Amino acid sequence: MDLDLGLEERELLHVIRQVSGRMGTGRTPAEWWQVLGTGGFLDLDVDDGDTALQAVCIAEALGEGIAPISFASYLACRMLLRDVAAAGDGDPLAAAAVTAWQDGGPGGFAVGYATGQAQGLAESLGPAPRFAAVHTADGWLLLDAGSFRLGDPSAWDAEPALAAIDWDEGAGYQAGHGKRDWNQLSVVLHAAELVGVVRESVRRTIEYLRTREQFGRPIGSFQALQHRTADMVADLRACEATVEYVGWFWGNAPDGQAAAAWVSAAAALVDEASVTAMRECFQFHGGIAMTAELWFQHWFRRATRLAAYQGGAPAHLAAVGSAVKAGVTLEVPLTAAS
Amino acid sequence: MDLLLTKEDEEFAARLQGWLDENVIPDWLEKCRDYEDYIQEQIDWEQRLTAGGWAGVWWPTEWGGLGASATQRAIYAELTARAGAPEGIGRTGRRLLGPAVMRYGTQQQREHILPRILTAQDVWCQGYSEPGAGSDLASVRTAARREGDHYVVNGSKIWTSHAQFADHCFILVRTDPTAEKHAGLSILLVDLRSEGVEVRPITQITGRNDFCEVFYKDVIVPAADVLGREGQGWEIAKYILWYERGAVMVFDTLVRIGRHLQQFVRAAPGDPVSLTAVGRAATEHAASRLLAYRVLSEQIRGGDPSDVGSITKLYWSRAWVRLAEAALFTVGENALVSPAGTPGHALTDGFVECRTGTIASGSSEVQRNIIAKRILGLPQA
Repeated sequence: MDLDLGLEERELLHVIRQVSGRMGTGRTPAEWWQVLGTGGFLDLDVDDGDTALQAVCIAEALGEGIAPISFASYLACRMLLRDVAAAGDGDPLAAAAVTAWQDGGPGGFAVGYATGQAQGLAESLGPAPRFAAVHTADGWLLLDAGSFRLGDPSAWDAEPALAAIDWDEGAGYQAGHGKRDWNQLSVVLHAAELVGVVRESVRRTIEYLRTREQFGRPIGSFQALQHRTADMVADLRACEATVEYVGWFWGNAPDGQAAAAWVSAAAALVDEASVTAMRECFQFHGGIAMTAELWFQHWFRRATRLAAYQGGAPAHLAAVGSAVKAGVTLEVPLTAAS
Repeated sequence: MDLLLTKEDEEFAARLQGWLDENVIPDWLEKCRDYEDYIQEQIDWEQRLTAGGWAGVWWPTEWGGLGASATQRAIYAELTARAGAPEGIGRTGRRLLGPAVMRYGTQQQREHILPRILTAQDVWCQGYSEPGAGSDLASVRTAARREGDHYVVNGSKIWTSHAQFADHCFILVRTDPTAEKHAGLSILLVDLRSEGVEVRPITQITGRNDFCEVFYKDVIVPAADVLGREGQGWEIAKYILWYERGAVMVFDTLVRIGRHLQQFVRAAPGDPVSLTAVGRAATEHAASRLLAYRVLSEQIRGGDPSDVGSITKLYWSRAWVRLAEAALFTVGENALVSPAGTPGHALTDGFVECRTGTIASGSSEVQRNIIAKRILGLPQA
């Protein structure tokens, strides 16, 4: 048994980090899609635990560099459209969406989820989406231009654009839940991206603690900060272990209550830990963190947004609690005997 | 990633489970009328482990052990805990001293000490903390003064588990008062029947007497009974602590926390606030286990336990206290009683039991120091 990342996954993390480093900041989503596409990273099909874990690693590494794209929404939509194409029921909207994806890439799509009757939140994968894929209680809904409306992109974070979405009731193509509940994959990958955002923020903050001097010595030598940093790192390690395991487990497991509970557990753990970690990173930097000059503002915004997207910690924790009360266990037994 | 066990590991688990099914008396704990009964069960279990050949599960075959892999040792910790088996009175010798003797002991020490631990002839305890040296372990003041072919030991140790039932104790002592704090320490292997040793059990908040204070007054210890070199005590003490905090041993603690969680789940009401508390406890428990697997995976790939165990310990112990507090306050006054016919007071017992996690084997504050300095490389004050 081995419940850690293997060499293949570590290599994948390394490669995406290199890509991210070369891209730097200021590139458009279209440029990112192109580079990732050229590298073959957008061809990933999530069919089992190993491929799901690869997706988690990609999302983490992109989160570290706060790439201006949502790999989570991309992959959920890609897998959904693969199911739609395979079903091939002749619906013209479904066929048009599949063709648009295959020919034009992800830039023409917005992907999101319902928060109420005919309304929700969506991430745009390009500047002017012509199609939207929205996860609702009844499964996925495919919408085409004219049947949905996106609000102004959130001022909170420029890219990937996040906006309110509403749609005409009864409009669109009901794609069902798909072969798998791809929205669960989206939740896990958003959590993985958030792990990456926090990991990089913590790494840079620890570097700051080593070099920033006050009272004649590095502030990282003060035990008050050391202990808080240790707590933050312990939480981060727990988040990494959990989101990576959950990605792998979800990829292998049949859909069901356990899979849903694990997904919510990962999301809740990462959401909560990220809020704490980013608060600490903010505080350790002091006044400079309040400025637009420091790198931190971008990571802080992205983390805050990701922690609230797809429900936030309280909703996920309540879902876990309900599942556990109903008899689901979040156990990873060492042996069948245990 | 994979959860698959090797064929050997599966066979090991099946063999162990079969033995546990035959040997663990399901309600042994409930049948204990008092602490003496409880200890007698621990002594009996030690004999059963030896007879069954399981006492050597932690050791390589070279020293009469089973040569079990890291995975198999974790399986042992988990399955024995799930079966509700006693820990055995010789746990400290088997789990902690044994590996240290193998690594640092002389050939004579290995040949004398190890077989006697394996056959439950000698029970060992661990003498580290002192009234004035808890988290600051390296400041121990118990002194061992060399006089010819022996040492004369004076001082006292505290929190020594089961010293009242032990034959021997390995103690961290200051052999060179002039040396730098960490350099002047050594580990001595002391016969507790020696003249000048006095053992006083301490009554704990639980009512049990698991800990003792042990006084040493002019106790003669042969010079041959130093473990490792004189002055190597801190290195050996840390090596033993790594084992104590290592991934393998945490699996039985996680089983206990899991039971506590189950009690919470059963007793918690179904309102949204309570469900959120249950969800957090279940999530953090799952994360504790996954962190432990990370460290276990590291050990399976090769290598001794390391400082990374501090991250795991900090996490699970903190999560356990949170679980205990959430359980008590979520369930409310019903946590103070058990339904008729249900033995024990799981939620209140757990509320106390969880405290050992953040204190024993190095407090959470010590773990944070280790993480900050040794893992993160933050500057020293």
